[in-house]
Amino acid sequence: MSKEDLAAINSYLSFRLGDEIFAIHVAKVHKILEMSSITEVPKAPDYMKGVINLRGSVLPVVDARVKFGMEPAEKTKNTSILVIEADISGETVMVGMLVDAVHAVMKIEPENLLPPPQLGDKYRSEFISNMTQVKDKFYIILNMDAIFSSTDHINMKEITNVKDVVIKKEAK
Amino acid sequence: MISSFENFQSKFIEEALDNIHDLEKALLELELSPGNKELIERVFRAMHSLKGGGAMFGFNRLSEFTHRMENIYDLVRSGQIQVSPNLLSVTLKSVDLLKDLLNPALAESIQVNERFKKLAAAIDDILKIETQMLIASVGSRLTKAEESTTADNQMGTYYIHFYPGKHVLENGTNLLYLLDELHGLGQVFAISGVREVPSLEEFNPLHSYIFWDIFVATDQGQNALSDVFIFVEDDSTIEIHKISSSNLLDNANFVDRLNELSGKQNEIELSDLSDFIGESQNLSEPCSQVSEPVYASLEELKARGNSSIRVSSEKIDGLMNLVSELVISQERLNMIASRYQIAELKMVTENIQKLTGQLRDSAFSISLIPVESLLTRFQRLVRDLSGELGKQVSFTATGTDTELDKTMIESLTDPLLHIIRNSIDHGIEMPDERQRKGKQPCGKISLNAFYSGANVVIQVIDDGAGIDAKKIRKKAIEKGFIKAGGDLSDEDALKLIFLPGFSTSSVVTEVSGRGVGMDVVNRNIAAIRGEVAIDSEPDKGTTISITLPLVLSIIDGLLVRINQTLYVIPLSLTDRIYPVNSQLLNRNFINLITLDGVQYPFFNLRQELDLGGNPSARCQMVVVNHSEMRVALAVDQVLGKIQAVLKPLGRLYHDQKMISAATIMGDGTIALVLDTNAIIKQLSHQS
Repeated sequence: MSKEDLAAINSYLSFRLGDEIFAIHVAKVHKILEMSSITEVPKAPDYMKGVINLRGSVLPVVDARVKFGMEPAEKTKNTSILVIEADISGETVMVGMLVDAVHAVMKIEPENLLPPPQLGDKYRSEFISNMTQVKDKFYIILNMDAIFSSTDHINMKEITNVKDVVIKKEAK
Repeated sequence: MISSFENFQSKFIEEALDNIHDLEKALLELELSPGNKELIERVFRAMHSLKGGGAMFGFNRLSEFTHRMENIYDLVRSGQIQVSPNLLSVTLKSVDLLKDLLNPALAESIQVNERFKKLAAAIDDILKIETQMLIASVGSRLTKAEESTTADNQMGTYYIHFYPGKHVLENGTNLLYLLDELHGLGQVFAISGVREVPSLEEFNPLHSYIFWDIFVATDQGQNALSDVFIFVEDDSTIEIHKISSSNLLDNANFVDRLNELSGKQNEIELSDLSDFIGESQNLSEPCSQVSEPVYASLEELKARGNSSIRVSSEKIDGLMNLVSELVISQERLNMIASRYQIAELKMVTENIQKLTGQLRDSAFSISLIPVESLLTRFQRLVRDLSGELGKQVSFTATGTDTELDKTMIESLTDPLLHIIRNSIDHGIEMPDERQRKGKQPCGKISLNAFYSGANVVIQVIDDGAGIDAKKIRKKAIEKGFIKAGGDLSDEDALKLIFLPGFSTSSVVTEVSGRGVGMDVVNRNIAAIRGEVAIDSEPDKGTTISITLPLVLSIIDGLLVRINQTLYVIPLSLTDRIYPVNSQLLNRNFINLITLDGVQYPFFNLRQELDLGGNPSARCQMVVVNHSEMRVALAVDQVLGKIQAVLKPLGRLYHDQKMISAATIMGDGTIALVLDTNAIIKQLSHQS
């Protein structure tokens, strides 16, 4: 399938990090792997969990919990690695992302996608590509390119705050 | 295979770039020996191919421009113009323009248009001046000139046996156009031979089956005739004989005889026509003046090419990937074989190991390119830049057959260009200053390439002003890189020029002095696991040495273990291994250990890499070579030797300097490849 065809699909994959549920566009997700043994690379940022062997090539794995400023993940039977295609300054890079659990694939029509709210400098919204409401639940659709391009930790609080603001707005 | 026009076009661009490269090379050689007929012929051939191909594939401007250049070199070839430095400069600039004209993105841009106009005018000027000079000189050697022109323009009848190669049509050549072109030169009588055309079932429309016997009466000389066939001469058999110095085609008897012969469909023998050509002087003497140099240069080309073929780099990359996979599978087989003690399995495994090794080596040698392929660009740079700065520089190169991985050659080009540019701009002094210093007015820059152990060393040596360590220190203090009064050896001071933002040139020139230079060189070389060293003596010159590993993608490595993680140390750097009691390491404060009577500085990798865990009672010290010294590295256990297929860690580990790559083991686990040089450098800085 070409890139245009993929982008035309209105499906999103949701996953859980801590208590929060996020979604990303399915075109970004290459594969979902079970948690396997990860080879730690010394002297790397703490959210860089290590590398795994993905069919003969070496895939770096990011611990999304640490990246979002949470405690490192406890390994459970739900822990999964999402293999994501991220665009880091013009270069397509495959990255594994360790998440607490993978939830479901949801269909979201484009008209139900809300733009990320412009909240000024107070909250950084570059990591959010869209907001959406499925039934009565709000989801944040993450901009994976921006997340993996950033070498900083991402403040989970800022992101969930954005969500609260949007919920309040919608409620009005 | 269905080839679209675009496909042909990209093929043409590829070929045209080769032609341009050859043209540039020939021009640079021509500068050294301006009278060399063979070189002029090479220049002419390259231009002619460019012109014809350009027109055929829609690069009309390229073709138009080359046509102008060709005009000049036609005069050069016939000896009417001498090769002058001015002519060469214009031609070399034109070569640059040709490269841009091939690039669809650039060909229509305003700048290129401007250059096109300027250079076209410059070429026309040269033609004008030279023609005027020619006219002026005509008076003095009028009689001689007359003789030669009459000789050139004498009417003659030529017999051409033209047997196109089977595959000549695949290049897009239309043979009928060639005949048309001959018609343009004079009177033509062509007899086509169709004896070889097979029956319809066997007929391949892509192949050419027809041959011609052609009689041409022309006053243009043999040169013009052989030019017609310049595109097809590689594949085809072409014989040109002068059979008469009069126009035989005016002779009705001769034409009758030809008609008779053409009806018979036999190959035409010149003897059949002996009645008519008896009067001719140089019967069946193949056109000596023209074809000989052409053949000679062809032969030379062949000898140089060593009968090579052109393979796309993607295919080679594909092959390398397959070999890498094979090596991984082979390691796995090894592991399984050592688990089960089956004699037969072991034998097969060993055999396969041997074969994989050989396959690996030959696959590598395919992707190796000699350093020579870089030279033309350097010669060009030296020529242009020294001229621009008014300096005299001679450039020599040795060891140009030293081979390097093609990806490395690609990443070497820019750093080397930069180094040479620096040498010309900062190193080599102006001629009068050189004389004042008692040196030859002409500066020397040499590029030496050679193998040194598992490395390739490339040196750029100049005999210029050198770098004054005192000046560097002063500058470094000014810029705040080091503190005043610090104790810095000359060697260390020289290394400061690799720092970003450091430039000692007081004048910022077009060429250098902006302080973005040596640090980029250093970074680019480090990216291909190489190292840059600098050695300089004031007024004697500067030597910059680049040391590179021979191969990039598969190395022989020593497999070691720390905790549960596997690491690979490049075997080429490993010297020896000693078992030691790990307590010895913990109670050591100065990081020195005596092994077998020799004292080594050492690093405990478990500690230095923050790996945690508890060391076992006994550990092993791997002694590795690091520049001039040996350093011991403590690991838990040495497991053995492996062939490691290097896989990059990827962008997200970009800042990780100590681990150069990862490799996948036979059982699917990952081992990390340690860059011992980077580790030791970084750790010794800390301590």
